[in-house]
Amino acid sequence: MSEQSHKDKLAEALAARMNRRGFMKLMGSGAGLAAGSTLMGSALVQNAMAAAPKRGGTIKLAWVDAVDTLDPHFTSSLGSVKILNNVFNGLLKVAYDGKKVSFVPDLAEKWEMPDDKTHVFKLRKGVKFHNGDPCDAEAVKWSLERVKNPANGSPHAWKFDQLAGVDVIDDHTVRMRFNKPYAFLPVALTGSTGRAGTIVSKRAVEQYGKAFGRNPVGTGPFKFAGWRENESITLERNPDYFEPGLPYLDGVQILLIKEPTAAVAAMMAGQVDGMSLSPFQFIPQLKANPNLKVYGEVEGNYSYVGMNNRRAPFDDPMLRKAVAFAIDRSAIIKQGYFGEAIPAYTPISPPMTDFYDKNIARSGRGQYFDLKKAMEYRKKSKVQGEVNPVYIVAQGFTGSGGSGTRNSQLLLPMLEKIGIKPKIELLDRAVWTKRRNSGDFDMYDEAWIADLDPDETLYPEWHSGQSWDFVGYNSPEFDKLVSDAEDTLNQAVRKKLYYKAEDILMADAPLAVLAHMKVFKILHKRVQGFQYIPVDLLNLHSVWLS
Amino acid sequence: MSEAMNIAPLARGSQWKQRFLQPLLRQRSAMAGLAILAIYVVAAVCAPWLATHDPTAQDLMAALQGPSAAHWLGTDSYGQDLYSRLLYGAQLALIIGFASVALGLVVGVAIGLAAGLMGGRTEWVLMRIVDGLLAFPELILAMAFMAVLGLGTENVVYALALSFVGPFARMTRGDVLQVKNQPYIEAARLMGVGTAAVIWRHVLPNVVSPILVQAGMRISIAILLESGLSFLGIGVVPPTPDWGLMIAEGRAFITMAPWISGVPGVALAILLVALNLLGDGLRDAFDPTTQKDA
Repeated sequence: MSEQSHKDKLAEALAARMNRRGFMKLMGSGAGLAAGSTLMGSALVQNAMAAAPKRGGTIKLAWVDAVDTLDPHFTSSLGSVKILNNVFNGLLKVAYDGKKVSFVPDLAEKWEMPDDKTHVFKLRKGVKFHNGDPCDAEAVKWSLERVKNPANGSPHAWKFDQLAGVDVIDDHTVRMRFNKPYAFLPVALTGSTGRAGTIVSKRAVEQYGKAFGRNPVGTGPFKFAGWRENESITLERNPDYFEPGLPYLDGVQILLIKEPTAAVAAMMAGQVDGMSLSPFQFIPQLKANPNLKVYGEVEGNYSYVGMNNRRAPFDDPMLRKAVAFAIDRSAIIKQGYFGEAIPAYTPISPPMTDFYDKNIARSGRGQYFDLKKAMEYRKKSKVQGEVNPVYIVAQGFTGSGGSGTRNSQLLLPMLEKIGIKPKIELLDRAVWTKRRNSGDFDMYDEAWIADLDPDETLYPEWHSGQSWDFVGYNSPEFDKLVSDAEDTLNQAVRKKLYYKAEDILMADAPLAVLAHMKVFKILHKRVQGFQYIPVDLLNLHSVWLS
Repeated sequence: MSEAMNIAPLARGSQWKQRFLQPLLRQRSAMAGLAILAIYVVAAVCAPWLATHDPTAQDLMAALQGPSAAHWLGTDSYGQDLYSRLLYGAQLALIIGFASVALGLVVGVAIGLAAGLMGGRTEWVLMRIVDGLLAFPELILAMAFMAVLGLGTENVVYALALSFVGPFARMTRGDVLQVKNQPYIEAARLMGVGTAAVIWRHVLPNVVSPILVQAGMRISIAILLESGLSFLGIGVVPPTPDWGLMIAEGRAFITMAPWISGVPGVALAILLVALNLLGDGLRDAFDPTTQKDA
């Protein structure tokens, strides 16, 4: 098989295909900005390019979501990832043309697959870290191995489970060898929440040790300048950034405002240029303001209620199914997400264009509201009297999904109809996380967000023994299907495997899916050149202030 | 003999009047506070009859509505009736306020009495424990205990009561130390009156007024702390109708539906003012240090 056909196969297998033509062009013409815009081929970008960008200025952003650490290999917060994307680069990056998400080279200039288990990346020349060190093949190898090495304990190490080794071929060529074909690799490298393929400075990590997350050094368009606890994070322009002419801004001031109401007020008054996220109830108000532009589409996510399969009463699949069919999704969407979401029938979400079934509502697949069915399942369940499962919740706003107590409160009257009266236990976020992780609950609700591929939506969450299978779901049949799909490069076959897997998952109902939510970014009209990417990113590379 | 029997209760009754009721009646602002408190108590006790809706019934079609004929004080984001929630919330606030103070008072006074009367090593140990409790601000102590005990109405009462044990114990001990060396105590002891009777008949009545003054003030603090805990998400559990929770929930809608936080906020403010007026009045009336001025 030729090189190209392997790549074709992989490209087909991806949730969102690569725009190959644009990709070739980029390889031919180097890293010019013009090539970049052709590559994305997007009206959005061209519009942004229409007016001549103005240089200078500092953008002021209200940051509502939590920032845990600025070490990309250890973060599990999207509030951090949005910042990290402006400080670091990966081998690949995510692009969006208004319809499809694609993966395009970033630090890599060329990406080849000599066979279906080997990926060769040719790196850009002359890229420097913010501390002056060269970002060469050695640096990339070290960074990838930092994620993989279990001694480091990166929460994203699972993405490189199948990575057999990384070789330096020459100063600007790296080879990644895998044990088996790995359809998920592009997402593993770029995935918003994971960013396993983000390249960090070795010298800086060794210099700062654990404090690297407070002193990040990358190759991105902005350098880290300072972090004042609970107050602000500042970034400044990287004059040596490899995309010529970028960035336009002199600096970024990120104001850490935990109270969304305060951030919305600042946004409405024009005191800040943008907001990283907004709770759903403010969206109509923000959209109505003529000075603001609200970006937001249904992203790769799903909210759900997890039920503990390991212990009574939810060790009984009939009772779980009763719950799954007793939930009125339209009420959840209207009241929980204020209309800014769509009902979920299965976990696979609309941005996974090649896997999401647009007609799923009429297909009869998945879970949906059907009280009659719920009653039938309830009648077949082991416990017939009233059930009082422990439902753990934690306070927090619902900007990015199922956190907070809102969904639980909405679910109470729905579940009461089938004789389930959950006992809500309100916990501190840290205690909640601990109890969820140790399986000390009967029910909890949450959302998995910023997913690009069915693999990250299904595998780590519901495959038995995986790190996020908190409910203890264990179905050998499901496990086999999702594992097989991971190594399958043929897209049609992969889709079939995922549908089968989902059907089993939805029928066993370790979870009741609720909704796919929109995720919002709000920018003032004076902010120009922003390119929206539906994986909860706020990239400032091409942004300027008019 | 029979005459004397008749006179004694009468004399005691008028003495009570003279000692407690009259000084209090003279405090105008205290009476105003008492009147407001009485309204709250009536509203709380009669909540089941006064409420127009089930306080936790959701009507999603009627969410976020302003005051209207159907919902007198409007609805919250779940379409729950704020007026009904307010009434039941008053019940909860008063129960938690009084119960936590009562519990804190009983335990605190017991410790204070024990320490003051026994003296020696027991006193030293008890007072060091009290010092430990007093070292933390009430809210911090209550938060720590909520974290240990878990959330819920009962646990809020225990946590708050615990944070009140320190002040009551310290105050009682101080007063007991003053009282126990008085000649009449010595006289009672020498006459062979039992310890329990001495405490009950001679010590307690002489330390009770400052304790009651303190208790009156603490109730408002307890209600405020409880609302604070619930507001922070570590108090009672939703959807319990609780003012702190209601304020917290309304916070996210403050720009579009200010009444969600406003209604319980105003109710809480008025109750606290009333309790403080009453507390100040009690102090002015009974605290030995201010009694002369009254």
